[in-house]
Amino acid sequence: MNKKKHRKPQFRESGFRILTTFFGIVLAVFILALLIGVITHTTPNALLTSLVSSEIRFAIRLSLVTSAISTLICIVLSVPAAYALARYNFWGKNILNTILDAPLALPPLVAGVGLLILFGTTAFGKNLADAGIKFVFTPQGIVLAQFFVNMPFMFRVLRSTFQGINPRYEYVAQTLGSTEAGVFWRVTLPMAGNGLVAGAIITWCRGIGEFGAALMVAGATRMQTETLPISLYLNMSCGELPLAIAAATILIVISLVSLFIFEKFSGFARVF
Amino acid sequence: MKKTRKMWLVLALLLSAFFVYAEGQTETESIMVYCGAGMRKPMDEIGMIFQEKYGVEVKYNYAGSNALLSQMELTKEGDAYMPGATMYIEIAAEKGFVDSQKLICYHIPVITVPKGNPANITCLKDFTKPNVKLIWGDPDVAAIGKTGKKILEKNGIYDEVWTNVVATLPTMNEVMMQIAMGQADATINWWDTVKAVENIEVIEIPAEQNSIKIIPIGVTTFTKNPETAAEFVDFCASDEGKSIFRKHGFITYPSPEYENQ
Repeated sequence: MNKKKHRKPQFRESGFRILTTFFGIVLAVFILALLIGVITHTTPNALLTSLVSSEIRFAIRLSLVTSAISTLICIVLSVPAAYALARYNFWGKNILNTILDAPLALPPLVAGVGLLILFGTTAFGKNLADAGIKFVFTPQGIVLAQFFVNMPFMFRVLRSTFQGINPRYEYVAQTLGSTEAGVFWRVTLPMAGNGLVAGAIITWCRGIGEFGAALMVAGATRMQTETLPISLYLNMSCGELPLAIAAATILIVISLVSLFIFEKFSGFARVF
Repeated sequence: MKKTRKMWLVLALLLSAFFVYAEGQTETESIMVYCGAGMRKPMDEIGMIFQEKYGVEVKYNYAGSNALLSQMELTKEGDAYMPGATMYIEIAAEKGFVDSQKLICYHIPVITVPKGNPANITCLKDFTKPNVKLIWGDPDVAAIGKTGKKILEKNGIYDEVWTNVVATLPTMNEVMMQIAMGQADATINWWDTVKAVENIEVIEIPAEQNSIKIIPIGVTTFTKNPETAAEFVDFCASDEGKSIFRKHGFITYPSPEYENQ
């Protein structure tokens, strides 16, 4: 032991270091085994045939479109809300923060029941439906579910992004004659670019994977409200394994690519 | 070196905890039964009585009949299979998962509407009225989804009715929830599944228009406890087992009323 005393601590061969790294590797192997197991469960040929089947192509298209729309809505509504809660102090701010984060902790099934009750059974929902804005059993319902469940991700990433921007930039811009809204538009928002991209990616990716709430509100009608996760579930339930694996494979690819982009852009912005 | 010793201690503790857990798992004998979700109530009770009598714990895996088939195909484990209709046990037999069956009781489809019957449904023909909103169990996943579809075909109204189906859902539980919340005007479901659900009304389908199924049970070919599994199947098919099904509102096999179905 004494001989090693002068060595730098990070080069010491400690059992603890080996043990903790070992745990990390075990977890990584577990995750990789799972992902590879899914992708290699069927033959590449069967996978390709399933990928180009009309059902899977429909599911891919519906997932991409609904999640893009729900992400856009998340951005539009979260940007002002996140800015206000990052910059201003007001009575009830903590409570407001907690409420806005709540869907994150809520099981998606609970969110689904809530959305179904609000938009399916109340006078508010029925009036909307009479006006032609239907959510129950429609693709719009998928967008609604994705929006509600994933809004906190966008909101939290943006809030921490805005918090990380030094307000002095805004003060300086204001002393140079810009209005508050002008400063936000021309100084703060461009500086929040990376956070915006990171938030959009994680919201979009989670939107593609949204299952529980969407199932409750929009149903699981084949070729109508069949997103990738719903297609995975339906085909798993009726023994169409190749189709299920195809849907799972696409979901894995989308998740890994988004995670990679998210890590690249997120910087100091963190979801949790 | 003390650190390493502590670490070994932690590892040893973890390992011993694992072995104690594994030991506990094998202590009591148990069998696993794949069971259609609609038979949950009587089968839970039968499982409890079977455990008291034979000292064997019965673990159930409840899901849609077809979903259970894919689980069997993937895992090749479990001791008995009880789907919602004989058709599924025949598919299982074709695939070599089951080689015998016993018939337990009838599964009778009925029309189900939300309380108050908003669309004034009185018979199958009313499903074809314009603006009637129907929901359905996914025909490829749920037994009643497929049976309901066959009933429509039998009555020659499938094409007309199917245009009124606004959504399909993977299990009948989801369908019943949507009906009870008034999100659709009607569906077809098993009588024994819906009779206890609140906020719904039931309309019978005349026998000549209906397609009544029989619930079977069979021992799997990959069971590791063939004797216990056979005992369990016999117990379900015994008078005592069937009386539990009757208690829960099922009509047990054979019954003169439905003999010709």
